[in-house]
Amino acid sequence: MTDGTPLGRWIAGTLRLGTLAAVLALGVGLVASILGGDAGRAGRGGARPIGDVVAAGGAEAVLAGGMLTLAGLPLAVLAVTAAGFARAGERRRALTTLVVLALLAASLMAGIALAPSAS
Amino acid sequence: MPNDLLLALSGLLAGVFGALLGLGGGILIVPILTLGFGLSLTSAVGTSLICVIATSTGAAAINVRAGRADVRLGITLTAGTVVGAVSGGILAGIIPERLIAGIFSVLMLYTALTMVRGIARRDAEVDGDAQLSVQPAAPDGPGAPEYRNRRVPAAVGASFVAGNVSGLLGVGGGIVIVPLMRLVMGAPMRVAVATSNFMIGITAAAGAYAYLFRGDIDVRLAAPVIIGVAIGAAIGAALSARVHATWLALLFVAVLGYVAYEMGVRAVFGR
Repeated sequence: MTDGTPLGRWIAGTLRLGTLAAVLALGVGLVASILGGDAGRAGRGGARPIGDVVAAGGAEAVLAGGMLTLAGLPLAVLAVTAAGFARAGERRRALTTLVVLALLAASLMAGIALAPSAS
Repeated sequence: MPNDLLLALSGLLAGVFGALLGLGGGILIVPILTLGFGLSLTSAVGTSLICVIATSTGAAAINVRAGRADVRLGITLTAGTVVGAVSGGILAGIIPERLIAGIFSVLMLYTALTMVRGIARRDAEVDGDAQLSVQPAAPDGPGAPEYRNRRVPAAVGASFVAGNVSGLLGVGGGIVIVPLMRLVMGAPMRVAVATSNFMIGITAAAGAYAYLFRGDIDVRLAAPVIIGVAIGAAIGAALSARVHATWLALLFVAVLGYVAYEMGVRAVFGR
């Protein structure tokens, strides 16, 4: 049994592509970090706001990119799911999905708003 | 053995385990990172939430395509879990941790006993062969599975509790969601596991963003764990289709018992 409907294909495709992109970025960043001398220790900066890590550049910025891709994937999945329900004429389901998407987007905005100022 | 390899293997184990049972793996990841690698609890919880997203996306990519996950039911319940995750994050600063642990311990024990009774009665949904007799991917209408419309208000309320669990403990909430779908709605075990895998990433993301932007996660240390989790989740999702549903349920009951014990210890001794 497989879900061959457009909804199932879209969701599965988004998940597969997004996970692959995130894992690839994390893998490339990890290799670059190890080759640059960080062999299994915590990063030079330790735990830092993700914005600071991206701004600093280098291998850790690639790692941060992978992590942000992964963290953003649920938002992408919800958007695709809402579109799939709308396309299938399931308006109540599409609306519910958009509500969940809005809640998650609000969490993201709150997280960004509460981030400490750039160091 | 180098740290990165150990971290990746820990993630792999958590990913297989989590995808197999509809959990995010946070139940393993948090203690491994705090006790095994010396991370602070805050950093471990933040890393765990990102790992839960990896477990969810890695497993759901397979489960949704295979038609095992009920996306429609998952979206309905996710409305409750996301609100719960946000409120859980707020409540974490207000409710005493030992009280939370105590309530959770009792809840897990009760759930374990109820699932054991169901297994002992050889409920048809659990004691079945590897093939599903329902169509979880079917749209609403005459062909939709019957469990999808059973006790929906109670299920959404319970999913709100699952979301709070996620926000308070840094897990995906699957430990509540899977029994909720099984016991409250009567969904087959394999559907409950696959649907939970789809949901928990969305739930975990609601809590993860604050940790990510606040600076509670060490990206260099988290990277090998996440890679391991993503690979493990794909393996676990493939395995779950081959494991007899009764064994899945028994393994889940064992996890519930372990969690109930750990939370009970935390409630009594405050560690």
